[in-house]
Amino acid sequence: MNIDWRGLEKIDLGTGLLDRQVNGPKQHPVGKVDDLELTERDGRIEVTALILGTAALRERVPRGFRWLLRAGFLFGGGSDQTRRIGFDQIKVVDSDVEVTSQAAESAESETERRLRRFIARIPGAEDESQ
Amino acid sequence: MKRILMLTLGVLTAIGGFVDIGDIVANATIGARYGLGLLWVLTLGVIGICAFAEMSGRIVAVSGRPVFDLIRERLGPRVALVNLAGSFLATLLTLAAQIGGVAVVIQLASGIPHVVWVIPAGLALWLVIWFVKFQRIEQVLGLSGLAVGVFGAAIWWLDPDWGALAGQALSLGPAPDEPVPTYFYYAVTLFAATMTPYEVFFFSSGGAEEHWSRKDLGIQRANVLLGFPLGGVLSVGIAGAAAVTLLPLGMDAETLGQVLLPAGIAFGLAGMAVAMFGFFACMTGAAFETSMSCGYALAQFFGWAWGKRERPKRAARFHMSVAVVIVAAIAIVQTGVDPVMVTEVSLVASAVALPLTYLPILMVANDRVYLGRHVNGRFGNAVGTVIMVVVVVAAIAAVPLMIATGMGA
Repeated sequence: MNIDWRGLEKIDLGTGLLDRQVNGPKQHPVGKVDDLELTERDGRIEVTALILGTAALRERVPRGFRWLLRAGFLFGGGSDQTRRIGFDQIKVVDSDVEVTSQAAESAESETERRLRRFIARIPGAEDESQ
Repeated sequence: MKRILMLTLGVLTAIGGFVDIGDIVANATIGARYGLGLLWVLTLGVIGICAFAEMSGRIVAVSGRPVFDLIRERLGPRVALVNLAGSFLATLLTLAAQIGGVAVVIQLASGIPHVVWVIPAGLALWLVIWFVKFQRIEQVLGLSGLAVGVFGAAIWWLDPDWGALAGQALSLGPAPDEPVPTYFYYAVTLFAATMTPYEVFFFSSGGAEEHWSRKDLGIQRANVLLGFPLGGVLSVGIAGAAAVTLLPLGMDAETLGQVLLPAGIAFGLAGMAVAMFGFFACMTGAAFETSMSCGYALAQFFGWAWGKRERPKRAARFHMSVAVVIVAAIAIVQTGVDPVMVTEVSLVASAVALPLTYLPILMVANDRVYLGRHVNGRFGNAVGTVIMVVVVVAAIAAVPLMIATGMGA
């Protein structure tokens, strides 16, 4: 694995990786690190993947707060299934996490895709914006 | 040369963008009742918004990421979620107030009741967001908003008793015959109007939309430090014009029609028309900023692609939420509630949500992980901390004061 850690020797997974922004190349947002996949290998626990998706985030929020996330779904058009980005797809860990374009593509949210098909029908959806 | 032009435009946009229906209503109501007696609150609010907008602008310019993108990683998902819900709700109400205000301004111009104009106004807003470029919207509406300066001109034209005005401006407490809770209720709403949370939401996300970088630090700082105080001057104009016309007549400024009156007293129909145009521009601009801010907040919490820097299709969830937010705001106003009432409620909600917005900014502005050597200096932190104390006091006092005074009745 050739992750650029920006000079860090160790990081706190809770504050240094969890809840960080995940971006593809050119800073295109993919999602947040909603959870981490941990795997036990030879008695050692390793982080093997980033888990993205509101379904994963739900588990980390106390029960009393989950209705707020559900209220959020009203806007997003439904809960996201979790997506997995293998650790070997990470390029840089900085204040955000940059992943390969391939990983960014495959971790694209299903809700985003669904809404994209809908939004694409509105004139101007393809316009170069700003 | 290009930089000077950029600066001028930025400053002018900030001036116009500062004033919204909250500022207009709060300043006019207070001007009619206390004259310039709450100028100290406005001054404090302007210092606050300058300090925090500068911090949030610096965070964007250095880290490339708007403040609310960072809240979740700094505060964790639980606190960030509560934060999101609070700020989002306050901003949604603020949006509803702006759309209602736009509808009332059209009513005043056309004579046709405002409920007819709510849906067209909301739809037009969405079309503008969808089709017009970010900077164009900001500049056109910001510059048009300068028309609100007609109130300041009205004061000068009416040539009032300047000594009395100065006396009000220098006072720091209520007149002996005024109830103290009501005075502080108005103080809290004026403070909230000046520091409305969406202003920094929008300011920092807008900075990312315009691709600010380290080399823009100077320009963005100048925009803030010149633009917001001059925006404050426009607000003082509204309060002062009410102070020299409505206060002596014992009139309230409870409707937007009454708020316009000082411009009419000074310049007749032409004055009213200019003021209406200014209100229309300020409220439309703020409606743009608040609806975008709702989308920014959601997108940045969940990590979606956002903003007008992306093709709309590339930020589908963002654009969908902006559209849904506008529909929700339309639904609120379409019930027929008085937009001025919505404004007052939105100001109280904003006051309560203030710490949610400003505390994280102060924290990130001191974080070397994001800012390196550009963290807050001692002066910035001193100002930030003092304002933070005021913000917390205002947030705690807002609801009790609202109940105790029956919304300042």
